[in-house]
Amino acid sequence: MEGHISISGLSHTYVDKDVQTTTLIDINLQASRGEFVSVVGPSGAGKTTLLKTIGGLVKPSIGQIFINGNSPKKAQRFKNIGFMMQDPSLIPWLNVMKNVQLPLKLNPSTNQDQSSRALEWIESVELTDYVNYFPHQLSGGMKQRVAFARAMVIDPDIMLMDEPLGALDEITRSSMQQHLLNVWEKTGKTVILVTHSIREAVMMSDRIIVLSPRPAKIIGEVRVNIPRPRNERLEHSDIFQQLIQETKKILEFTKTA
Amino acid sequence: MKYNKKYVVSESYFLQHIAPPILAMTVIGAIWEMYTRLAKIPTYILPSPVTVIDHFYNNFSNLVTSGGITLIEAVAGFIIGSTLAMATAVLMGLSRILERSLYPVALLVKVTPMVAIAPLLVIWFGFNMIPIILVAAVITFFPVMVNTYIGLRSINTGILDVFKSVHASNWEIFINLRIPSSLPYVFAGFRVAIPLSVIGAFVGEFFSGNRGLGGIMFVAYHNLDMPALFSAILILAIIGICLTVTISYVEKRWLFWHESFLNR
Repeated sequence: MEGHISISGLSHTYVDKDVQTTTLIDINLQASRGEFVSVVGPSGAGKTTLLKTIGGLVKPSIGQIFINGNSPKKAQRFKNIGFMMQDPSLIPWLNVMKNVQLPLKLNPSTNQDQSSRALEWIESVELTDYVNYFPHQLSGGMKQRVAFARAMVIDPDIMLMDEPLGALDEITRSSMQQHLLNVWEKTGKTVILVTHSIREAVMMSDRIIVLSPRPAKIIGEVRVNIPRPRNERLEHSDIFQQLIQETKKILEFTKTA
Repeated sequence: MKYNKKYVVSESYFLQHIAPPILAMTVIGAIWEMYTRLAKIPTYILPSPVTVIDHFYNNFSNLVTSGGITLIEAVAGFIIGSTLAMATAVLMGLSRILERSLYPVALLVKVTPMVAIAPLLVIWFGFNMIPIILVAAVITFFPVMVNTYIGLRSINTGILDVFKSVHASNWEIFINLRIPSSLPYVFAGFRVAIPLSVIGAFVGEFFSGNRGLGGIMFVAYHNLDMPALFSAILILAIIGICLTVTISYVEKRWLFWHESFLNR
């Protein structure tokens, strides 16, 4: 059966200054609707390239990607893809409100009420008091919350997140994790999260995909059968630790291999 | 809360930013005055500051009128030159072929000394404002064009990905991302170009010899009228400073978000 996100035989190679580099080899991955999939792997493996390829920002050299049965480009046109990167990439000359409204303003589809939609999401990330603030007046965590609201405002079918919490301190990070989980549980989006934190992957996902060092292949998969809703207390449970060890083992195996 | 910074000259701002240059100029003026008096330097070599101020005061209305003409020519040249420069940069950004054909032409104009072009323009367009404005426009063109061109290309790739992820058109990217991103560079070009436009207007006037501060200096130079020369230089400097301050003010208002204005 075709998944909500369906990737088959995906490889990616690029040429820079006559040097050919292969980042991804024969990736096959299915994600069903509403599934939360994490991708872990050594740094520089090609996790970001994989995510950008799924989102249609990078063209695959070989292979096919379908999102809801459409090509990534078509999915972009329908605004089915929400992106959240490690760098919040907010527009410095626009305030919080206008940053969140931006994806609605670009490539406008229907006469949706932009400001009320944007305000709803700003409220959901608890930044209502900051709608007129500019990015340089916000902390790192606040910027990431704005980036999250901006990704969600178009109500995408799938969310692609590239270490969105990587630059945050431990406390902000765990509260953002909880926030993302709450929103995800409410909205039921299909999520692909790239992360270097195994702990984060276990806490948040239904399934963890492990990549090898570059050129990246899928070398393992860990199912996280922990009931939801999940919270921080989970981290002390045996099953949580067990899953972390299991994932670590696969990762370490790639290092020695 | 609305973000809006007020610009008020406070007492500490005066002490930190305005008082020191005034003090420095006073000291230099005093040394200069004493030197010309004690060493008995003749006025036609180096006039004392008091003689210059005296001439400045007695010919104030003439100097201000001429200064006004030079200012208008410089500003007109600056506006025409930068508008054309920005349009050219946009065209160059749109097409590689246009970039390859236009850039060498622009470079050719840039490396040709203005004093060589100015007399030509005066002969072609006559002894009026047109050649003078053209000189100011030509001299303004290059720095603004190069900076705008670089600015249009200097966009944050992360933000560009956000635009692409919702399938924004090239036009939307151009209007909403490329143009605003280029502004810090454009203003850097403006700051170089604005004093140049004054130089351009002055050079143009010097060759037509009948108007503005260039005209005054043309006559004063041939009569060795040093107080008149110095008075004209003073007005030129004042015009240059005023224009630079204006540009900096606009820049500060528009680019409050840019790194160069944060933490100041």
